[in-house]
Amino acid sequence: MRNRILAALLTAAMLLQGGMTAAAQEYTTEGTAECKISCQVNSSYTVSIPATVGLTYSVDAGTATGSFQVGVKGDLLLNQMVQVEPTRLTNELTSGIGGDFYDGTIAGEKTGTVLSVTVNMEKSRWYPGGTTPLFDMGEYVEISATEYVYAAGTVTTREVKAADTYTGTLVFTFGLEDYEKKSTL
Amino acid sequence: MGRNQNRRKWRKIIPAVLTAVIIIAVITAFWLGYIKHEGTETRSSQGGMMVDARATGEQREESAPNPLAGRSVYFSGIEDTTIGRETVVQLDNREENLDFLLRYEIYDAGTGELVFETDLIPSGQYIEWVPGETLGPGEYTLDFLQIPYYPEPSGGYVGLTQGSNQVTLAILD
Repeated sequence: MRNRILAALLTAAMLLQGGMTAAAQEYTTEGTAECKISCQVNSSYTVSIPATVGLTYSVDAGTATGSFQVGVKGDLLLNQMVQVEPTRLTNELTSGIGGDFYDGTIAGEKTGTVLSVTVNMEKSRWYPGGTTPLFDMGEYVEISATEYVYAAGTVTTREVKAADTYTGTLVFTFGLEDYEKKSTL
Repeated sequence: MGRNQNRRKWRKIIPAVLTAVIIIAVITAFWLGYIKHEGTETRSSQGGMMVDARATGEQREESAPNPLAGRSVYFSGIEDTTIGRETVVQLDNREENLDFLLRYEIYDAGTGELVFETDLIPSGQYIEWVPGETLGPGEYTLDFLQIPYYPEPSGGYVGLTQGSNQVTLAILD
């Protein structure tokens, strides 16, 4: 009797296993499937730079000074920032201590006299809001996707020794840079 | 008796005359002020120009209009990217630049070699460049020097502040 019961249980188990196997191999048109959709929208930005920078000569000081504003607008990935720096004025600008001012030259149109000039721009980095850089990257500006956010700069000459019209072409270099960040929360 | 009458008469006339003089003076002062105010407004609307503080840090009236005062040049930022050999890159002059023309000089930052240059591009337009036709497969650091010009009415061109965008460009095989 015990053997019959054991045989019946084994038979039932084999049938059940076979049935399950058959069921697992069936394919139906119903059901759900998953796939990942990814879309990366890259950073985009625009830089606004003054078309010209006029310097005003002061007789008392014997030097000429002027100021300008550089603006950046854009939509950045959270790990990227825009950097804008003056890099050339007639020739390559020499970066000063701390990197927030640059020395260059302009030349007199008639006399050819070379005049030393210092370009100062304290804020040169624009970064997306909501994050704080891990490292000290100096003064920075929070960028906006809809309007230009400006940073100021100045241009100052050394003592002007000869009357003339001094000119030079200023070049700003800009680009995107990756940086490490941490949440402000 | 006659003297007293004359005195009374003058006592009435003198205050009346003084009052009239004061009223006329006040009206004249207002009138002159109005004319002066009107004149200033007319002058500034007809071309007396304020130098934009954003560009020069000063506000002062200039005798001759400077068409470049307070104006900015706008540059598109180009991102580091990987492209195919036939990918087209659009080198644009943004619409905001209005009458400013723009041309590109593209340099290999490593060698300093001029890789590509464009003619003058009017604002709102672009020139197409296929880097794969100029450069072989590989990774390049390129300086996109953007050189804007103001076309003078006399026919010359005034060079403006330039922008240089350093970009890493990888061209696939």
